[in-house]
Amino acid sequence: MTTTTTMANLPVVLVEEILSRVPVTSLRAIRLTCTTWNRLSKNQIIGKKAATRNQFLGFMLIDFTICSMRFDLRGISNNDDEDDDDFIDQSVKEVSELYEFSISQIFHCDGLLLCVFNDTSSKTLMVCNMYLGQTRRVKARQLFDRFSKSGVYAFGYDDSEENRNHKILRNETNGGGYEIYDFRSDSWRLLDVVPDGDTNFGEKLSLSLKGNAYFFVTEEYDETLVVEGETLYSRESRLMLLCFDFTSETFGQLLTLPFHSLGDLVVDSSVESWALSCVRDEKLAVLFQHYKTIKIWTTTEIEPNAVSWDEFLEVDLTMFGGVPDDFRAGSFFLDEEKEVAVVFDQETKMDRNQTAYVIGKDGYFKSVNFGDDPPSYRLPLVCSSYIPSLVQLNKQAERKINKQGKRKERDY
Amino acid sequence: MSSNKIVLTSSDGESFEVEEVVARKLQIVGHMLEDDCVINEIPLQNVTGDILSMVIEYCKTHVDEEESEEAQTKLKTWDEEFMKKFDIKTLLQIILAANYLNVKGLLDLVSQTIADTIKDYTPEQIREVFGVENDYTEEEEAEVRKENAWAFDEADTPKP
Repeated sequence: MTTTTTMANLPVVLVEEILSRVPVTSLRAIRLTCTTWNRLSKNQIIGKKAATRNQFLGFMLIDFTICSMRFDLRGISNNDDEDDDDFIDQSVKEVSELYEFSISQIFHCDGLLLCVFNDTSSKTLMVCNMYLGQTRRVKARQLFDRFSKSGVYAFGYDDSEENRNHKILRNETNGGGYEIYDFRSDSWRLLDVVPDGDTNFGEKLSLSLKGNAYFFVTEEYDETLVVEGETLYSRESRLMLLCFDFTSETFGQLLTLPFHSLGDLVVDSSVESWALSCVRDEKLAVLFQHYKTIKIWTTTEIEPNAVSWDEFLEVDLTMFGGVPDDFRAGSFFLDEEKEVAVVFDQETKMDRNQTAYVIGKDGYFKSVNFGDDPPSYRLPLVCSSYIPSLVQLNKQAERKINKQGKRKERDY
Repeated sequence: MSSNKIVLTSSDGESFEVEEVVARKLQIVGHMLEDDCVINEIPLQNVTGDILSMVIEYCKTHVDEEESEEAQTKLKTWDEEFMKKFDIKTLLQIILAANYLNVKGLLDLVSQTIADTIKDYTPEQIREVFGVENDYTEEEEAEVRKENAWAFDEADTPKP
């Protein structure tokens, strides 16, 4: 062999093909290698394919602290006989740089986290780029406006122009209207939109998919019954799905879920629970637990005004010995290739370790301990398909970089 | 019917007689066969004999892609063992060959193997093994180093 082959003389398509398979946890070393690879990483090439390979990165709140979560399911064999040997590698740990903040809600979109402070009257929201280590504070529209820790929020982006414009929606506490913030103008506007029907947002957080946000809402409506010639009215309720489209800045129609629930008006809340998740940034997944049965569906189509569902799995928890009687699924993510879902309890019980349950189509079951200290409070994980983003949040950094004539992607 | 033999010749003049079904796994050959139906010797200019023999070994093993789960698992195990034979330099030559000869399955397999290899490397190791030149100025490199990952830095990743 006379010529030595090196990566430098590989065609760029092959370099991209290889780098797309490198897990995001190795992004930093790749970026430092040379300027070309750094540029490729900015086009979000690195880690894209790796993200679909049974490795899940995400975030959750434990005791009002932001934690990063990593689950590696590659060790799950698809062979039923070898369940005992399966190795699931996972870690959940506090993000030490954000430890000082007490946070009540987090939302993930496009590699960024929106954080709502655990404070009844905070003057700001915080957005973090977890990869670049940047934060940005978002001030309220008016001097005396506050951000409630339990308000309704959503995080998304407008994709109609070349550079994504990230936006935050919030339910105005006074008066019940909505207002929207966009990063480019760095300001809030009042929005004259309301969802269809008589709807209420529950306690579940919105979830971002492809730049739009999805909510569980409980719709109340009157049902008319004619009994023996007499017309009777009955007040009914049902759980529905609602999309906020960040490009058109409107709510979509109420979308039907693949199961029936009375939603927040359910008489005994210990009987039912539901949760949203997404599969990569492509599909929504929904979980419904009714007594001891968990069913999960994924979307075959999902648009602000249209949805269709396909059943992913149904399991009877009584089949497995290891699930506590009072287990109520609060959040989850799923691995389509391994045909399993990883399900977390709605709230952690004081006397118990932090445990996730891996349940599968063919009766696969495994419990995974991911922390020894029982926390007093936990919010569902907000994302399980995190890919680092190079969106600049720091306005000062942007100015500095632009002056050098380098890096211009999606800066704010 | 497909017992027709085809001779593939490498850039350094080595010849390999293979069944037509195997040769067709190289899409470049498949296209030639469609364009002109009577060829029995095909010269492949951009690949040397030692690399071509490995590509042929892969194609022979993958000649009938069976759907059954058992067959798939068997192939997967074979792929893993096959990849273990090569050092990174050879892998880079195979990926070039797989790209030129247009063997999709092999291209995916080698890309993944290389990606799995470099994920635990430091930037210095990556540059050395891959012959990539560090074209950062000192200031630029410091700038990128400063952008540290909060959540999933390398220290988090347990080495297998």
